[in-house]
Amino acid sequence: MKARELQLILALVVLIILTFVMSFTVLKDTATFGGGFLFFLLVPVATIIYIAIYMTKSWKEHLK
Amino acid sequence: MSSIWIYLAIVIWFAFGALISWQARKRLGKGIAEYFLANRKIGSVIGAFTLSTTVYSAFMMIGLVGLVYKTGIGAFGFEIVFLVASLVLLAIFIPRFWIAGKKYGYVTPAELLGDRYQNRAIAVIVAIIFIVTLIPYTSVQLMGAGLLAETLSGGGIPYWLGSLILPIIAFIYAWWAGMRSVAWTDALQGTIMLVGSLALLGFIAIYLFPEGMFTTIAASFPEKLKFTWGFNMWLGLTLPWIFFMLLIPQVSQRFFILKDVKSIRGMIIGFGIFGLIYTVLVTIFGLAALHIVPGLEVADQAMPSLLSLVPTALALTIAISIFAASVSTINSIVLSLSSIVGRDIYRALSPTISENRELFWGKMLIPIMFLVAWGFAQLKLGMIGILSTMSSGGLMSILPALIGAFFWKRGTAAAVIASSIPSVIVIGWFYIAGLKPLGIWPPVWGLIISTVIYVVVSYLTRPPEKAGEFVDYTKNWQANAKALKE
Repeated sequence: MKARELQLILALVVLIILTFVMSFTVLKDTATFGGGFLFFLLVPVATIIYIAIYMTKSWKEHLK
Repeated sequence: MSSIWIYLAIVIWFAFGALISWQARKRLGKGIAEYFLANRKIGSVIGAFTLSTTVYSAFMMIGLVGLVYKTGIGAFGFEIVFLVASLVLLAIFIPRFWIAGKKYGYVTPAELLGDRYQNRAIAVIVAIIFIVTLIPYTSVQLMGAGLLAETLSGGGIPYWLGSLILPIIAFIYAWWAGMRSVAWTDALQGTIMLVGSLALLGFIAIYLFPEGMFTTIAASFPEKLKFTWGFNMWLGLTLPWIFFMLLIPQVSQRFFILKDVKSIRGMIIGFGIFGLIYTVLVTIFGLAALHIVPGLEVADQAMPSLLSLVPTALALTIAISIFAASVSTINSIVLSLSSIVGRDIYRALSPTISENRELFWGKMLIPIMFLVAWGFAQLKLGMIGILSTMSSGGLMSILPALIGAFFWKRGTAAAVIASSIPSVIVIGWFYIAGLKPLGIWPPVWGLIISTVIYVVVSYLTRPPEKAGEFVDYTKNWQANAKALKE
């Protein structure tokens, strides 16, 4: 596995831990759409942007 | 709603799909790779649609809506963890699957494992695990369709008939022109899924929640906006879902069909955008149903009940979008399983078989698989969401073998056989008997068992000669893709 891929896996682990921690702490007591709904919405948006940048940079030689 | 309207909508929808399928048929060439992989020539847009619609099935509009209805926002979080993990794993695994397919000519993921571990028995075992676990998953799609048709028609279309119409349509699309037909019609199904869902969102927001949907739900059902899942439920449902994309053959087979690296990127980004939009919409429908059709005893009835309250034209559009989600998933499953039986089981029994003969037997299995899945759907087992997870849970037994194939040269054939068989038996046994030792769900136990056995046995046995070559080749996929192009 290459260094960039390890970074990607690390980012995934951090995101899952963050989702897990948020779910079982803050979101357990927050009954608003600005709480769990917004949080769960922002996580994949950030991931899609991150992955798109990752692929464009790492695979640039093949994307010309 | 009158059954006639439903039949009419199905006929119109089928006619559009058949037209596309016919166009695909005109381009159908000869050979296994042509029929089952569209000759590895699928581009970004079709690739993104076929991946998205294969993954997002009737489970979403029936099962996930029901799960949100029953357990609140936690179900959204569970689905989001799946999406995020999938995107990352796709970026790592698709290029490896793709380059291995180009180099070694693989048609199925079971074939890849059998060749990497240099043991034909592995391909057979994995193929059998795929078949056993995917029958309930396919039947889930048919259950959703049967339930929806019966509820919408007020019993005019009985469950057995509602669950039979879709496999017939899916059979025609898949049988006629293989992967190209399935992938092209998936683009139609995906468009219908998004348009139908957006139309429903508009209607709900304007007509059913004039005072604002979010405010109303936050005031009426605040507990559903809190994360109320227990840890073991979260882990037991989320863990198999995280690896779903790698383990389900109709999904991983799609990693072989892309024409170039641009298409890989397009497929992943397109899948992410489709998945996000669809998941958000479905979650909103589940929450909206709490207010509009409160107190349902069967959570999976939330969406059908919701649709019984909207205008006929809109209800029909949504119903067709759910049927579209089902068809796009089941034709992919059956096409994939038929290729697996032809290539990994029949070829193992008769190694000198010609490609035409293999294709013939693969196609013969398509109607049989549909009939078996339909028969299973008549049993109406459990909640749709749980049943779907049970299917992917069973596939956790081969996860160590799959990851090891690409990343661990030490992984051996004996380890794959020794780890996958007991693991899948334990998972199936625990699910059927309702066992959760220490409160831990069956897929977690299955993964622990298969990982420990895989590692220990790999250290005790000799890896095949091809292991090093395979791992290095797929690791350096960028350089090798360039070399193949030149």
